[in-house]
Amino acid sequence: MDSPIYSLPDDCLCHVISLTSPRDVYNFSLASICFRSVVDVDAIWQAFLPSDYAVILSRAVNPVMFTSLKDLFFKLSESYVLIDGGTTSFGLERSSAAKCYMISTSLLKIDLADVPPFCWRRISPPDSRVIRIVPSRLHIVGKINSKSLSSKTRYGAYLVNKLIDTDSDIFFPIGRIRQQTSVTVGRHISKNIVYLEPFYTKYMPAKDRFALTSYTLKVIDERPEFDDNNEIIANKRDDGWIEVELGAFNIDKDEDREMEIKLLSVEGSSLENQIILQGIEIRPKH
Amino acid sequence: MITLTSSDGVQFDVREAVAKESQIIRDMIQDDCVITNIPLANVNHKILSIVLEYCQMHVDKTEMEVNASKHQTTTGEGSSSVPVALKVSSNKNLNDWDKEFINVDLDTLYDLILAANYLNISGLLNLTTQAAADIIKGKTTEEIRATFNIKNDFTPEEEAAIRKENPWAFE
Repeated sequence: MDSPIYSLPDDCLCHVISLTSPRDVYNFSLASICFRSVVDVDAIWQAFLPSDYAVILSRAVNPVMFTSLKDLFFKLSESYVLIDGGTTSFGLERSSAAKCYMISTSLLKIDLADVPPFCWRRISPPDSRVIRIVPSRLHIVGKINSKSLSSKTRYGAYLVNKLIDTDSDIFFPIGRIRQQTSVTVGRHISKNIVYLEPFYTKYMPAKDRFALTSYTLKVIDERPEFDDNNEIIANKRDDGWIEVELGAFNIDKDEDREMEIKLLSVEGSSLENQIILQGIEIRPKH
Repeated sequence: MITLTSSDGVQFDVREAVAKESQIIRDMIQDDCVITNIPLANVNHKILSIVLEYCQMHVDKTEMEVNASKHQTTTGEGSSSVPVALKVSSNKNLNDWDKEFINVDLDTLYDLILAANYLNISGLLNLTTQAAADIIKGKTTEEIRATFNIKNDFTPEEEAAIRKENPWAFE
């Protein structure tokens, strides 16, 4: 016997599908040839686009051209679009359709009080959004309004950076300094202790295994001070940058709240390393 | 009172307010104010009784709220926060009731979607389509086929090709 789902009129079925997610649409469309075409129904993609997508597109630095709402959805989920005079980029997470942002360094408050002027500069071309600094301590603050994010979504804030060694040493001391991070939304605070370098997995030649062991022990020894915090080590991204989670938070419903994202070095480094900052990325956390 | 007759000939006598939860019946009554018997060719008695249970509950709740706030206004008692609190708690009850109400088997859910669509009862249509969407959410293609009793009519080659086009969706 045929499944009664075939008896649903197209508009009812599309209404049901538009309440799921892009990932669900593709899984549903592969169930039977009869449902194959749902992936091309523009009304479904319109439901997945944020309700204020037209306003966001009007803030784009370069006009975004698209042939259908499905095309637009995929454009926004494949790469971020520069908005607000190039200070922020906007995109959508493909599987959930949640809004994502990259807050560039021009919007971040970077305290360089103890960094001599010759030690940092904004990188001009190819990418003026990133800055290169040689810090002994880092103090970075970013802000975003929770209203600009998707509701009913758990988000993470990620610092996106690259570490460059200034001598032949393959280790990056700045990457191994404990950084205390926090994300504050109203009364909710999420705190982490992070390391900017993915050092447990990389840069560790076999002969230095002893060094790794002693360092690991050192880290464990120092933990009690931050007992309540998660300790997080950076990850390498597919695009060659390094990211580390600064904190996580839930957006339950449309709330108009300013969120503050902070990173603060717990200890200083006297060693010369450069850090190239791209910004803070806000995207769903799974 | 209005008499609604199901497709299989069963008659239901309901208050006008209850029947008017349906936009299509509301339009009929507006066009012809002496109408007392409305035949519904697309809804059988089993589904119609469930639909009317939904409409009855939602009308009762709305009327209770209106009465409560009227009572507050006429007696002049208490602060304005009382009816608000009452409304919040009754909304919560209604949501709980909806959740319990929609806990039905798939065949009934399809029929309720069709009935809500045909009768144009927006609250019931939202509730039923959301329930169906929640069943689909997070499932793999195989799980969707099993849940909805859908026969796979793709050839293995076709299916593999589609999966390859959008690997992110099937990871």
